Amino acid sequence: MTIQGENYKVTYHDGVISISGKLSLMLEDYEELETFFEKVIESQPHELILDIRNLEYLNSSGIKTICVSLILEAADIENLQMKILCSDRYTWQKETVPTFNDLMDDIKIVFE
Amino acid sequence: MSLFRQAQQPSERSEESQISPFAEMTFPLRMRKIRHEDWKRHIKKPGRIADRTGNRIDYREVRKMSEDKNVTVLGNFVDPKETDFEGSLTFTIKAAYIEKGKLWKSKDLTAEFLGNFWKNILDIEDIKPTLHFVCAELLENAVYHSLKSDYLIMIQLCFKTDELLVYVRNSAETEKIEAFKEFVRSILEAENLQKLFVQSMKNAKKSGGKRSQVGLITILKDRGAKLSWKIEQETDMTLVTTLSRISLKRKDA
Repeated sequence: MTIQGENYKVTYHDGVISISGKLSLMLEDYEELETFFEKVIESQPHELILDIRNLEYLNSSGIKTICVSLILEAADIENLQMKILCSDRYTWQKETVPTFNDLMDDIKIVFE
Repeated sequence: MSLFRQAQQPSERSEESQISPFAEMTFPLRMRKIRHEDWKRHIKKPGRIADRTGNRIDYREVRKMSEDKNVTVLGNFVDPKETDFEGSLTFTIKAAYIEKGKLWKSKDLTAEFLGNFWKNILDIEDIKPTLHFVCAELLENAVYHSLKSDYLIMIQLCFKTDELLVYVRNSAETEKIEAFKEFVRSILEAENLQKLFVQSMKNAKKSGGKRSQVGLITILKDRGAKLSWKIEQETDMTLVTTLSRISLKRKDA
Protein backbone atom coordinates (compact mmCIF):
# COMPACT_ATOMS: atom_id res chain seq x y z
CA MET A 1 0.00 0.00 0.00
CA THR A 2 1.37 3.40 -0.94
CA ILE A 3 0.36 7.03 -0.90
CA GLN A 4 2.51 9.25 -3.07
CA GLY A 5 2.03 12.94 -2.38
CA GLU A 6 3.77 15.97 -3.82
CA ASN A 7 6.36 16.20 -1.06
CA TYR A 8 5.86 13.00 0.86
CA LYS A 9 5.44 9.24 0.59
CA VAL A 10 3.68 6.73 2.84
CA THR A 11 4.17 3.00 2.45
CA TYR A 12 3.12 -0.11 4.35
CA HIS A 13 5.01 -3.33 4.02
CA ASP A 14 5.60 -6.22 6.39
CA GLY A 15 4.21 -4.49 9.43
CA VAL A 16 6.17 -1.27 8.80
CA ILE A 17 4.52 2.05 7.99
CA SER A 18 7.13 4.37 6.48
CA ILE A 19 6.50 8.08 6.14
CA SER A 20 9.11 10.23 4.44
CA GLY A 21 9.39 13.79 3.12
CA LYS A 22 7.42 16.75 4.44
CA LEU A 23 3.82 16.40 5.60
CA SER A 24 2.02 19.70 5.86
CA LEU A 25 -1.53 19.24 4.58
CA MET A 26 -4.83 20.92 5.44
CA LEU A 27 -6.81 18.94 7.98
CA GLU A 28 -9.35 17.73 5.45
CA ASP A 29 -6.58 16.41 3.19
CA TYR A 30 -5.41 13.99 5.86
CA GLU A 31 -8.50 11.84 5.28
CA GLU A 32 -6.58 9.66 2.84
CA LEU A 33 -3.93 8.99 5.47
CA GLU A 34 -6.59 8.26 8.09
CA THR A 35 -8.13 5.63 5.81
CA PHE A 36 -4.66 4.20 5.18
CA PHE A 37 -4.06 3.79 8.92
CA GLU A 38 -7.51 2.24 9.32
CA LYS A 39 -6.72 -0.40 6.70
CA VAL A 40 -3.36 -1.16 8.32
CA ILE A 41 -4.98 -1.75 11.68
CA GLU A 42 -7.75 -3.84 10.12
CA SER A 43 -5.10 -6.16 8.70
CA GLN A 44 -4.44 -7.20 12.31
CA PRO A 45 -0.65 -7.10 12.57
CA HIS A 46 0.96 -8.33 15.83
CA GLU A 47 3.56 -5.64 15.78
CA LEU A 48 3.34 -2.28 14.13
CA ILE A 49 6.37 -0.17 13.38
CA LEU A 50 6.09 3.48 12.38
CA ASP A 51 9.27 4.54 10.62
CA ILE A 52 9.56 8.31 10.46
CA ARG A 53 13.36 8.54 10.27
CA ASN A 54 13.03 10.36 6.96
CA LEU A 55 10.09 12.58 7.88
CA GLU A 56 11.62 16.03 7.79
CA TYR A 57 8.56 18.06 8.73
CA LEU A 58 5.14 17.35 10.23
CA ASN A 59 2.50 20.02 10.83
CA SER A 60 0.07 19.97 13.75
CA SER A 61 -2.77 18.42 11.74
CA GLY A 62 -0.33 15.64 10.84
CA ILE A 63 0.60 15.18 14.50
CA LYS A 64 -3.10 14.93 15.28
CA THR A 65 -3.71 12.37 12.51
CA ILE A 66 -0.88 10.12 13.64
CA CYS A 67 -1.83 10.38 17.32
CA VAL A 68 -5.57 9.91 16.86
CA SER A 69 -5.92 7.65 13.81
CA LEU A 70 -2.90 5.47 14.42
CA ILE A 71 -1.57 5.48 17.97
CA LEU A 72 -4.84 5.84 19.89
CA GLU A 73 -6.51 3.30 17.60
CA ALA A 74 -3.64 0.87 18.09
CA ALA A 75 -3.85 1.44 21.84
CA ASP A 76 -7.38 0.06 21.80
CA ILE A 77 -6.23 -3.25 20.37
CA GLU A 78 -5.06 -5.86 22.83
CA ASN A 79 -1.72 -7.50 22.19
CA LEU A 80 -0.73 -5.05 19.49
CA GLN A 81 2.84 -3.86 20.08
CA MET A 82 3.88 -0.57 18.61
CA LYS A 83 7.31 0.92 17.93
CA ILE A 84 8.27 4.29 16.46
CA LEU A 85 11.65 4.66 14.73
CA CYS A 86 12.91 8.23 14.83
CA SER A 87 15.94 10.20 13.78
CA ASP A 88 17.87 12.60 15.99
CA ARG A 89 18.70 14.61 12.86
CA TYR A 90 15.30 16.27 13.24
CA THR A 91 14.72 18.59 16.18
CA TRP A 92 10.94 18.27 15.92
CA GLN A 93 11.20 14.53 16.45
CA LYS A 94 13.43 14.93 19.52
CA GLU A 95 11.00 17.47 20.96
CA THR A 96 7.62 15.99 20.09
CA VAL A 97 7.73 12.25 19.48
CA PRO A 98 8.73 11.25 23.05
CA THR A 99 5.52 12.93 24.23
CA PHE A 100 3.54 10.27 22.36
CA ASN A 101 4.55 7.89 25.14
CA ASP A 102 1.52 8.89 27.16
CA LEU A 103 -0.91 7.91 24.41
CA MET A 104 -0.27 4.18 24.55
CA ASP A 105 1.05 1.77 27.16
CA ASP A 106 4.30 0.02 26.28
CA ILE A 107 4.86 1.98 23.10
CA LYS A 108 8.57 1.95 22.20
CA ILE A 109 10.17 5.08 20.81
CA VAL A 110 13.64 4.48 19.38
CA PHE A 111 16.07 7.14 18.17
CA GLU A 112 19.04 6.66 15.94
CA MET B 1 -5.67 65.98 9.32
CA SER B 2 -8.73 63.79 9.39
CA LEU B 3 -11.24 64.28 12.18
CA PHE B 4 -11.65 60.55 12.48
CA ARG B 5 -8.04 60.00 13.49
CA GLN B 6 -8.35 62.63 16.16
CA ALA B 7 -11.29 60.77 17.62
CA GLN B 8 -9.21 57.64 18.18
CA GLN B 9 -6.38 57.04 20.56
CA PRO B 10 -3.15 56.92 18.49
CA SER B 11 -2.25 53.46 19.78
CA GLU B 12 -5.59 52.13 18.57
CA ARG B 13 -4.94 53.19 15.05
CA SER B 14 -4.67 50.03 13.05
CA GLU B 15 -1.51 49.02 11.33
CA GLU B 16 -3.72 48.19 8.36
CA SER B 17 -4.21 51.86 7.63
CA GLN B 18 -0.49 52.16 7.02
CA ILE B 19 -0.45 49.19 4.69
CA SER B 20 -3.39 49.77 2.44
CA PRO B 21 -5.62 52.71 1.53
CA PHE B 22 -8.63 50.41 1.40
CA ALA B 23 -8.29 49.67 5.11
CA GLU B 24 -8.21 53.39 6.00
CA MET B 25 -11.64 53.87 4.53
CA THR B 26 -13.34 51.47 6.91
CA PHE B 27 -12.95 53.83 9.86
CA PRO B 28 -14.89 56.84 8.54
CA LEU B 29 -17.77 54.59 7.53
CA ARG B 30 -18.36 53.72 11.15
CA MET B 31 -18.24 57.19 12.61
CA ARG B 32 -20.75 59.92 12.14
CA LYS B 33 -19.31 63.08 10.66
CA ILE B 34 -18.62 65.91 13.07
CA ARG B 35 -17.58 69.35 11.97
CA HIS B 36 -14.07 70.26 13.02
CA GLU B 37 -15.22 73.49 14.73
CA ASP B 38 -17.79 71.51 16.72
CA TRP B 39 -15.17 68.99 17.75
CA LYS B 40 -12.77 71.67 18.90
CA ARG B 41 -15.53 73.28 20.95
CA HIS B 42 -16.44 69.91 22.36
CA ILE B 43 -12.94 69.24 23.57
CA LYS B 44 -12.85 72.53 25.45
CA LYS B 45 -16.36 72.30 26.86
CA PRO B 46 -18.03 68.89 27.04
CA GLY B 47 -21.71 69.01 26.32
CA ARG B 48 -24.13 68.54 23.52
CA ILE B 49 -22.84 69.32 20.06
CA ALA B 50 -24.55 69.24 16.69
CA ASP B 51 -23.40 67.55 13.50
CA ARG B 52 -23.59 69.00 10.01
CA THR B 53 -27.25 68.20 9.60
CA GLY B 54 -28.07 69.82 12.91
CA ASN B 55 -28.69 66.55 14.79
CA ARG B 56 -27.52 66.77 18.31
CA ILE B 57 -24.87 64.26 19.38
CA ASP B 58 -24.24 63.56 22.98
CA TYR B 59 -20.49 63.79 23.70
CA ARG B 60 -20.71 60.53 25.63
CA GLU B 61 -21.81 58.84 22.44
CA VAL B 62 -18.84 60.32 20.60
CA ARG B 63 -16.40 58.96 23.15
CA LYS B 64 -18.11 55.59 23.03
CA MET B 65 -17.60 55.47 19.27
CA SER B 66 -13.88 55.72 19.74
CA GLU B 67 -13.95 53.15 22.53
CA ASP B 68 -16.15 50.88 20.44
CA LYS B 69 -13.09 48.90 19.59
CA ASN B 70 -12.98 46.38 22.38
CA VAL B 71 -9.40 45.27 23.03
CA THR B 72 -8.44 42.13 24.95
CA VAL B 73 -4.86 41.17 25.72
CA LEU B 74 -4.07 37.60 26.74
CA GLY B 75 -0.64 36.56 27.97
CA ASN B 76 2.52 38.60 27.84
CA PHE B 77 1.78 40.64 24.73
CA VAL B 78 3.97 43.54 23.63
CA ASP B 79 2.94 45.82 20.82
CA PRO B 80 5.52 45.93 18.01
CA LYS B 81 5.27 49.71 18.00
CA GLU B 82 6.30 49.84 21.63
CA THR B 83 9.35 47.60 21.28
CA ASP B 84 12.89 48.47 20.31
CA PHE B 85 14.22 45.94 17.88
CA GLU B 86 17.31 45.57 15.72
CA GLY B 87 15.43 44.65 12.58
CA SER B 88 12.23 43.20 11.23
CA LEU B 89 10.73 41.52 8.21
CA THR B 90 7.04 41.77 7.32
CA PHE B 91 4.85 39.96 4.83
CA THR B 92 1.31 41.16 4.24
CA ILE B 93 -1.31 39.34 2.23
CA LYS B 94 -4.38 41.34 1.46
CA ALA B 95 -6.81 40.10 -1.12
CA ALA B 96 -10.51 40.06 -1.73
CA TYR B 97 -10.20 36.49 -2.84
CA ILE B 98 -7.37 33.97 -2.83
CA GLU B 99 -7.86 30.31 -3.64
CA LYS B 100 -7.28 28.47 -0.37
CA GLY B 101 -5.03 25.76 -1.84
CA LYS B 102 -2.66 28.34 -3.32
CA LEU B 103 -2.62 30.30 -0.08
CA TRP B 104 -1.82 27.12 1.81
CA LYS B 105 1.16 26.34 -0.40
CA SER B 106 2.40 29.93 -0.11
CA LYS B 107 2.14 29.60 3.65
CA ASP B 108 4.53 26.63 3.59
CA LEU B 109 6.97 28.44 1.33
CA THR B 110 6.84 31.56 3.49
CA ALA B 111 7.36 29.69 6.76
CA GLU B 112 10.28 27.73 5.38
CA PHE B 113 11.80 30.85 3.88
CA LEU B 114 11.55 32.70 7.20
CA GLY B 115 13.20 29.78 8.97
CA ASN B 116 16.08 29.76 6.49
CA PHE B 117 16.41 33.54 6.39
CA TRP B 118 16.79 33.98 10.12
CA LYS B 119 18.98 30.91 10.53
CA ASN B 120 21.34 32.53 8.06
CA ILE B 121 21.25 35.99 9.64
CA LEU B 122 21.58 34.78 13.22
CA ASP B 123 23.87 31.86 12.50
CA ILE B 124 21.90 29.62 14.83
CA GLU B 125 21.21 26.21 13.26
CA ASP B 126 18.47 25.25 15.71
CA ILE B 127 16.36 28.29 14.98
CA LYS B 128 15.24 27.04 11.58
CA PRO B 129 12.99 24.12 12.60
CA THR B 130 11.48 26.08 15.49
CA LEU B 131 10.82 29.17 13.41
CA HIS B 132 9.50 27.13 10.46
CA PHE B 133 7.03 25.33 12.70
CA VAL B 134 5.91 28.42 14.62
CA CYS B 135 5.40 30.51 11.47
CA ALA B 136 3.63 27.69 9.66
CA GLU B 137 1.28 26.93 12.55
CA LEU B 138 0.40 30.58 13.22
CA LEU B 139 -0.19 31.16 9.51
CA GLU B 140 -2.33 28.02 9.31
CA ASN B 141 -4.50 29.31 12.14
CA ALA B 142 -4.69 32.69 10.40
CA VAL B 143 -5.89 31.07 7.17
CA TYR B 144 -8.46 28.89 8.95
CA HIS B 145 -9.86 31.70 11.05
CA SER B 146 -9.85 34.43 8.44
CA LEU B 147 -13.18 35.76 7.34
CA LYS B 148 -14.20 33.85 4.25
CA SER B 149 -12.76 35.31 1.06
CA ASP B 150 -11.29 38.29 2.82
CA TYR B 151 -7.74 37.49 3.72
CA LEU B 152 -5.82 40.14 5.52
CA ILE B 153 -2.88 38.29 6.99
CA MET B 154 0.30 39.88 8.18
CA ILE B 155 3.35 38.13 9.52
CA GLN B 156 6.08 40.22 11.08
CA LEU B 157 9.32 38.97 12.55
CA CYS B 158 11.11 41.36 14.88
CA PHE B 159 14.61 40.60 15.92
CA LYS B 160 15.96 41.61 19.31
CA THR B 161 19.40 40.48 20.47
CA ASP B 162 18.01 37.85 22.82
CA GLU B 163 14.73 36.89 21.17
CA LEU B 164 12.67 36.74 18.02
CA LEU B 165 9.13 38.07 18.09
CA VAL B 166 6.78 36.54 15.54
CA TYR B 167 3.56 38.48 15.05
CA VAL B 168 0.76 37.07 12.92
CA ARG B 169 -2.32 39.15 12.41
CA ASN B 170 -5.59 38.14 10.77
CA SER B 171 -9.27 38.99 10.62
CA ALA B 172 -11.73 36.65 12.33
CA GLU B 173 -15.46 36.25 12.84
CA THR B 174 -16.63 38.19 15.87
CA GLU B 175 -19.16 35.46 16.79
CA LYS B 176 -16.46 32.85 17.24
CA ILE B 177 -14.19 35.05 19.31
CA GLU B 178 -15.52 34.27 22.80
CA ALA B 179 -14.92 30.53 22.28
CA PHE B 180 -11.45 31.32 21.01
CA LYS B 181 -10.67 33.47 24.06
CA GLU B 182 -11.84 30.63 26.34
CA PHE B 183 -9.55 28.18 24.59
CA VAL B 184 -6.57 30.54 24.74
CA ARG B 185 -7.10 31.16 28.44
CA SER B 186 -7.23 27.43 29.07
CA ILE B 187 -3.88 26.80 27.41
CA LEU B 188 -2.20 29.81 29.03
CA GLU B 189 -3.44 28.74 32.44
CA ALA B 190 -2.81 25.00 32.01
CA GLU B 191 -0.63 23.58 34.75
CA ASN B 192 0.34 20.55 32.73
CA LEU B 193 0.55 20.97 28.98
CA GLN B 194 1.41 17.32 28.38
CA LYS B 195 -1.82 16.30 30.11
CA LEU B 196 -3.70 18.84 28.03
CA PHE B 197 -2.14 17.41 24.87
CA VAL B 198 -3.15 13.83 25.75
CA GLN B 199 -6.67 14.94 26.68
CA SER B 200 -6.99 16.94 23.48
CA MET B 201 -5.96 13.90 21.37
CA LYS B 202 -8.47 11.69 23.20
CA ASN B 203 -11.21 14.29 22.68
CA ALA B 204 -10.32 14.53 19.00
CA LYS B 205 -10.67 10.76 18.72
CA LYS B 206 -14.17 10.91 20.21
CA SER B 207 -15.46 13.90 18.31
CA GLY B 208 -13.51 13.50 15.06
CA GLY B 209 -13.15 16.05 12.29
CA LYS B 210 -12.72 19.32 14.17
CA ARG B 211 -9.39 21.06 14.40
CA SER B 212 -7.80 20.19 17.69
CA GLN B 213 -5.63 23.29 18.13
CA VAL B 214 -2.76 20.93 18.93
CA GLY B 215 -0.55 23.38 17.02
CA LEU B 216 -0.65 25.99 19.78
CA ILE B 217 -0.18 23.35 22.48
CA THR B 218 2.84 21.94 20.63
CA ILE B 219 4.40 25.39 20.24
CA LEU B 220 4.18 25.96 23.99
CA LYS B 221 4.98 22.44 25.11
CA ASP B 222 7.69 21.28 22.70
CA ARG B 223 9.15 24.26 20.84
CA GLY B 224 9.84 26.29 23.97
CA ALA B 225 8.19 29.43 22.61
CA LYS B 226 5.82 31.74 24.49
CA LEU B 227 2.43 32.78 23.15
CA SER B 228 0.24 35.81 23.72
CA TRP B 229 -2.63 37.58 21.94
CA LYS B 230 -4.17 40.96 21.28
CA ILE B 231 -7.80 40.77 20.18
CA GLU B 232 -9.46 43.91 18.81
CA GLN B 233 -13.21 43.48 18.47
CA GLU B 234 -15.29 45.67 16.24
CA THR B 235 -18.95 45.12 15.45
CA ASP B 236 -18.51 43.55 12.06
CA MET B 237 -15.21 41.75 12.53
CA THR B 238 -12.34 41.09 14.87
CA LEU B 239 -8.60 41.50 14.40
CA VAL B 240 -6.47 38.90 16.11
CA THR B 241 -2.72 39.38 16.58
CA THR B 242 -0.83 36.34 17.84
CA LEU B 243 2.66 36.81 19.22
CA SER B 244 5.17 34.02 19.63
CA ARG B 245 8.39 34.87 21.46
CA ILE B 246 11.34 32.62 20.72
CA SER B 247 14.38 33.04 22.90
CA LEU B 248 17.73 32.96 21.12
CA LYS B 249 20.56 31.01 22.65
CA ARG B 250 23.78 31.72 20.86
CA LYS B 251 26.18 28.81 20.21
CA ASP B 252 29.04 30.69 21.79
CA ALA B 253 27.03 31.80 24.82
